[in-house]
Formats: sequence, structure tokens, C-alpha cells
Amino acid sequence: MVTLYDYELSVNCYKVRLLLNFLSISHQLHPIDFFPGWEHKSEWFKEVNPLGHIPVIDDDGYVLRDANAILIYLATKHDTLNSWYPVEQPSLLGETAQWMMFAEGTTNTASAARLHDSLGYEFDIDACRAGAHRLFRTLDEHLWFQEQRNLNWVCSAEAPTLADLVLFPDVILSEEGGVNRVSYPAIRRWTDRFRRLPRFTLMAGVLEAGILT
Amino acid sequence: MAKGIAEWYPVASIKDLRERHVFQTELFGHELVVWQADDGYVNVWENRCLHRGSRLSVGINDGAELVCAYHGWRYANQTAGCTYIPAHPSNSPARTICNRVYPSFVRHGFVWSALEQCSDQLVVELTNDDEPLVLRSLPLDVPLEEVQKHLQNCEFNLGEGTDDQVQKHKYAPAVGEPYSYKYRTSNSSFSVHLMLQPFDDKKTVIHGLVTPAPKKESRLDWLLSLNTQLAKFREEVESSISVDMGRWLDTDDTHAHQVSQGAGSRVSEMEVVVSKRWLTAIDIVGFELRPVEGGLPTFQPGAHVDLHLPNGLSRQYSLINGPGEQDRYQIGVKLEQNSRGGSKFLHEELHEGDQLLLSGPHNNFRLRRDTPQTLLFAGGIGLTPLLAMAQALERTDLSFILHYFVQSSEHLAFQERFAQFGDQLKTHLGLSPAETEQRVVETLGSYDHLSQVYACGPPAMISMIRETAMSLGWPPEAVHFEYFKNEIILDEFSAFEIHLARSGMTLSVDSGSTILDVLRENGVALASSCEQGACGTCEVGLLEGEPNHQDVYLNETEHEAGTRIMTCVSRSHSDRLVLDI
Repeated sequence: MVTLYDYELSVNCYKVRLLLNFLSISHQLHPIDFFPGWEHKSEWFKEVNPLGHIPVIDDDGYVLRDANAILIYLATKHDTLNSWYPVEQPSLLGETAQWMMFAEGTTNTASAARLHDSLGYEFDIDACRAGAHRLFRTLDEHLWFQEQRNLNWVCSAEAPTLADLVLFPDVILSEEGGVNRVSYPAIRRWTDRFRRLPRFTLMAGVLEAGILT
Repeated sequence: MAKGIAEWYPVASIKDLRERHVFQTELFGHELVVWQADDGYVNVWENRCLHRGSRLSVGINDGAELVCAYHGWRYANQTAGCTYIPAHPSNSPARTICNRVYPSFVRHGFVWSALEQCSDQLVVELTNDDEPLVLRSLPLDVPLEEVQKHLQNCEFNLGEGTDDQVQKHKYAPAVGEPYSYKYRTSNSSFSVHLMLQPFDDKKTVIHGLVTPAPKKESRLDWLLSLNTQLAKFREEVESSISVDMGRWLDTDDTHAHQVSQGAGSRVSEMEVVVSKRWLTAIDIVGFELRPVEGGLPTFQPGAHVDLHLPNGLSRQYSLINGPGEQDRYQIGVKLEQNSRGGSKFLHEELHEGDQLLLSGPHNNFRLRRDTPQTLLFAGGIGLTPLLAMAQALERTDLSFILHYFVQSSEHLAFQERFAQFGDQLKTHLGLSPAETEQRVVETLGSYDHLSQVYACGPPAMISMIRETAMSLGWPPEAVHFEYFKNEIILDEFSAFEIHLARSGMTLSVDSGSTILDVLRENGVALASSCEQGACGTCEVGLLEGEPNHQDVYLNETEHEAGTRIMTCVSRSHSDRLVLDI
């Protein structure tokens, strides 16, 4: 059984919750009082993760931190189709890794702006927002041309990959950090498609996209 | 600025709206929500729910209606009228609850809109019949005037030609209009058009197209090449300006109030034309009615319209349309054996292309959408309002069963709409009254607190269903019905007095006239429809007195409470009634 040390409002924890549900991995959540309790900085939690960060998983004693590491581990172990992290297709795996690195950028800009606005983190908010818009422009252009090629996802595959999954939370919650998406129609359509995936899970601030029949 | 406002602007490419996307944009700082219904109609509305002002662009396009993400207010395709408010499941939203509709149309691959109705003149008129190749629209963080200034001097390089011989063409502006720029060279058949959308005071969107559309296999190259060049252009222009903030924010906002109210605005009587008539079952003719001009008012499931026939009669017919079918109304008319001139006229004299007057729709047979299970009982032509309800429920995750009782399979009407229901439609053919009652008893079962019943059909059948439900423990609140006619033998001759509490008038109702007649004679305008106590339109509140209801609209609990009466048929057991008008 996987235990996730979790905070409902964290984008990085949400990434892990999304995959746990997409892959129907049996798990339990261990809520951490991230705000205002700073429980992730408590003595007991530093024994779980000396860096004092969440998410962390404990898979029957195997402890792993960092959202990307956790996602790669869970996808490789549980995704029988190998579509989320396509280890059998080198070029697709390269693309996936490339866009996962890109998502580090959106987390450090769009999601940082959100932490600034909602939890009072001391970031340079203008730089965060400007950085997010730069990356969103690139992503929108990429997704628009993917649509022209009849591709629905960030990478050139039929099914979504971890690249879509790690980008999604930063994008869908960006307006909580003052980064609106009105200028990125291709991104907005991609969020519709992602939210229509089977076993997609919501979090606070994420709304349903409605069904497509 | 005023000149610029009365123009058509591209606000989205039609491809932007695929797959029930809810598109968000702005025009001169006015927030727009743009969405396409499954019937292809493109809606351009103010991006604001009338309830709490939330943006509708985060809502859900269900293919027929746009649903606000926050409290579920539903707005109809085409009219933008509110059709349902989940917090008030048993009420009809007032017809005045209608979102602002901006004028719009689709042409050359784009949705065009304007802040006010303007001439048909488009900034781009293409003579070519082919749909052009639509470029990726590019938003610039630059005010309109700056983009215009820079575009005058802009040139585009295009590679074109066969695989073995690629020719480079440099496109320079041949025609430059304030909002549209055309680029072409003398030695190529292709032109590039760029059109500007003034987004707000800091942002402009460049939309573009190539005409004629290049060959399929080279389109992606064209798109990539022009996108790269436009992105480079954007970078240059953005780095060359310093944005002058907020210039439009001070401008007079009055033009916002002059925007056409669209098809949703209230009309009392409108002309419609019969666009189709067909025999849908034995003795039942279907009529499809389209507006002579403008659009049709928003309707809700269960609603009926009044047809004003050329022979002077008015008749009520329920709309069978599913949600969002706002371009036409469909009704079913059964030929009555003892027709007084309504159904007989419609069957014999009303043909395709004929015009007639229509008013409504009124909805007094309201569908709740907050119960897990809905049972719909239709007898014969009583199917019509229930068919509309079933189609509305079909679009939700609430379960329902439509029980349809008719004499034989030749009596089944509007079967073209049945496929969507699957096993949620149960037809019961050729049952006797006793067998029908037995079937209703089996189907209803005892009251489970989770279901609502709706019944419509012959008066005897509705009464049987109501009595059966009551004997099985169903409360009147869970049993809804609509009689098409009132078969009660009415008292029309008693005399009594009415006092109008709000205006202070006291009037007498004499033998032969109704409360409604007397009110109208004394200048009190009151809407009515069936005028036989069946439809509920002429209802008023009752403050004092003992009414003789005589209607078939209210249920037992409501009759007993004695707080509402139908002014077309209700009279008084006491000498005086005090009305809340």
C-alpha cells in the first residue's frame, strides 16, 4: 500500500494524486498541515524527508521524495501499457523528459506566483508572472501545432504522458497566481481534454470540463 | 474610438471552438464568452453569469446549454435565456433573465462580432468560394494603434512551389485598411490577409488567413512559416513600445447598453412560419415553426406556446424540443373528434409556408432537476411536454423513465427522437383503462422520497395516476401533472365581489363573467393562456375568502391551502375574495 504525505492545495502533491487515481493504485493519504502548521518542517517529518518537502511516498517501506521521481517510479511500476512514462519508446521518452523539465519552469513561475498570492511566499511576483506568460506562449504555440497534426497531447503520442500530467496543475491553477490564460486558447482546449480523461480527479480550485458525447 | 466600435471584428477562429470548448476573449475590454452548440450555432455573449457575476468561460458547454460552473445556472443556445436555476428547482426562471448577446456571425473560418449591430460590410470580403487557410491567431501585448503602425511596413516571406522547385515570394502590403491588411505579390496567386481584434487597451490579436487555401500537403508549412514570422513581428513590436496604461478605461461605457438584446428579449406576439409539417402518428401532425425574423424566445422543458390562428382561435401546444433547439419550435397537434375549430383548422388548413402569430412560451409544468429518479407518464398526445423533459434529463446524470401509453404502434408520435433514450423509454401498447391502472400501480410502487412523477394525457388518465399515487403514499408535491383541458362542469353563474388589496379597488363579478374578464375591463393587465383553468398562466394570490377553485392546474394541497386561484375559472363560495394584486 502506498502512503502519500499530502497537502490538498499543493500542486506537486496533486500531480501524485492524479497518477494514483489514473492508474487506480491503492493508496492512503497522510495529510500534512502544510499551512499554517508548517508540519513539513517539523522534527518528525524531517526524519521522513530531511529536505522538509512534500510530496513523499512510502510504498511498504520504500520512501521516495520529489513529485517527478515519485511519478516516474509509480508509472514504471504500475502502468502496464507504459504510456504515461514510455520507457519502451526512446524518442517519446525523450520528449516526455524534455517537457517534464519544461514543467519545472512552470512550477517555478506560475505555481510560485500562486504560492505568493495565496500563502504569502516572498517571491518576485512580477518576475514569476512574466516568466509564466513566456512559457505559456511557448506551450500554446506547441499545442496549437500539435492540434494541426491531430495530436491531442504535449508529446507526439496517442495517450497523455507524465509531461501532460506535470504541466496540468501549474496551468489549471495559474489564475490563483494572477496569470490568466485568455491569450492561450490551445492551452485552454488541452485542459478540457485532460479534464475529460477517465478517472481524472479534481482538487480545490479545479473545475470540471463537462462531458463530450 | 466610436468609429472603431461599430465594426465587425474576428474574435475567434471557428476551429478554436471545437469539442464543446468554451472560448474566452475580449473586444475593446468587454469580456466575451464564445461557444458552439452541437447544432453548429455559435454564441457570443457577455462573459458573466447573471447570478453572481462569475465568468461563464469556466463553465460547461453541454452541447445545448452553457452551464455556470459555480451554481449551475443554465443558459440556452442562441437566446442566452436562463432555463434553469438549481437552487429553485420547482420554479421557472423569469424570461427576463437573459444574458447579453453580442451580434455575431461566422464567415471565412472566423467568428465575427461587434459591440453594436453594424452594417453587413466586412473588413475582409473574399470572392473566392473556397474556405481560406486560417492562420494561428496571435495575441500581442501591444495597443491597436502600435500594431497598425508597424503592420504598414511589414513584409512576409513565403516559400511556395513544387517539391523540386521552391520559389521564395516576398509579400508586401497592397491594401492596408485600419483593421485589415492584405499582402500579395504580382507573381503569385496567394494573398495573406491579417485582421486585427482590439482586445483591450493593452492587447491586440492578429488573425490571419491565406487565400486561396494552399494544397493540403503544404498547409502545415504555410502555417509554420507565417507563425514564425508573425511571432518575430510580435517580438519586435512588443520590445519597441512602452504601454500607455488604461486609456480606454476612462471612456464612456454607454455603447455597452446599446448592444442588441438578441433573440432573448421578451416579445409578446411574434410571427412564425410553418417550415415543415408531417404526419407523425395516426391523427397527429407535427408542425415545425420558425421565426419570420429574429430568433425565438428561450423555452424550458414542459413549456407551451399559444398559437393565434387566422380563424381567431388561440390554442396551447407544448414544445417537444430538446434543450438548445432554439432555431425552431416543434409541436404535435392531435385531431380532436369534437374539435371546436383549433385542431381541425391546423390539420386541414395550415400548410408549409403559412404564417401565424405565436405568443409565449409559458412554462407552468416545471421540471425539477434535483431528484435521482423521474417517472414520466404520457398518454397519447400527452407525450409532448414529457418528451421535452426526457430530452432535458437525458443530458444530465439523473435517471428517468418515460412511460408512453398508446393504442398501437401506429399511434407512437415523434419516434425520430426516441433513439437517445434507449431503455429509458417504455412503450405500453393497447392497454385497457384497467390494465393501464394496473401498470401504473406496478411502476409507481410506494413512495421512496427519491422520485418525482410527471403525468400528461387524457384527463381521466391523469386523474387515475394522481389517485393511484396518493393511495400509494405519494405526497401531492411529488406528483406533477398538466391537463390539456378542463373537463369539470364549471359554475359560471354565481355572483360575488373581489377586492384588490394592492390597488384598493372593489369590483363585482356577475353571472356570466369571470374574474379575469372583470379585471381586464377595469384595466388590470393579466396574462392568460388556456382560459379553462388548465395552464396556470392567469394565477393570482388570494389573501381572504373561500374560493371555488374549479381548475385542474393546482394540486390537492394547493387547493386546500387556498392561497392561489386561477382567475379564468375560479369563483367564490364566500361573498368576497381579497386578491393580492
